[in-house]
Amino acid sequence: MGENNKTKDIVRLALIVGLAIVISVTFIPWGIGVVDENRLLGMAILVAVPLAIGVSIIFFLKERRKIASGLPMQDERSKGIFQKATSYTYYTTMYFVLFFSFLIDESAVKDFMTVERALMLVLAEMVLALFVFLGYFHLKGVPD
Amino acid sequence: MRTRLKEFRARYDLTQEDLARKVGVRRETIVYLEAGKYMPSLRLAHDVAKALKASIEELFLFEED
Repeated sequence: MGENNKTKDIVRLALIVGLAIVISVTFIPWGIGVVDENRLLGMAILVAVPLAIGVSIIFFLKERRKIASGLPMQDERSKGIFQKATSYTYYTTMYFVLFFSFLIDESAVKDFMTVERALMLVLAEMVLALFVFLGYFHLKGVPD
Repeated sequence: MRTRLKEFRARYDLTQEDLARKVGVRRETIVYLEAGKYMPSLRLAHDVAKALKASIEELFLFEED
C-alpha cells in the first residue's frame, strides 16, 4: 500500500472515530437532564458515553497500527459486509418506523408511545441493528 | 470451494499478514479465503495467485457437481 493511501486511510479513520466521539459527547447533556427524572436511564447514559469514547480510542489506536504496517482499512470483503449490513439495517428500520407509527395511534399504548419516544426507539434500533448485522455478516460471510 | 493458499503460503514462508500486505487486503480476508468461506473477486484471485506464483486453478479448487 502506497504512502498516499496510508495517509488517506489514517485521515478517514480519524474522521470516523472523531465523529463517533462527537456523537457520543452529545448524549452527555441529555443524560444529565434525564438523571433527575429517571435515575437508571440517566446513569446508564452517563456510563455508556465514556465507555463508547474509550472503545473508539482503542479502535483508533489498533486500526492505526494496522494501517501503518501496510494493511488497508477496507477491502472488497469488508466493503461487501458493510453494504449488506447497511441494506438489512435500512429494511428493518423501515419496518420499525411503520410498527411504531401504528403504535402511536393504538389506544392501548397511546400514553406510552409518543412521537418522541418512537423516534428514540427507532434510532436505538437502527444503531443496534447495524452492529448486529455487521457482526453477523462478519462471522457468516456475505452470500455470493 | 477449497483452497491451497496455506500450502503455497508455507512454500514461500509467508504469514497471513504478509500475504494480506502483498495483495492489499485485510488479514481477515486471507483467513476466510484459506478456510474457503469467502469467494474472492477475479481481481483478488488474480492478485493472490500472482503473489504466490501460482495459477488461479492451482489455488482455488471447486468441487464438481
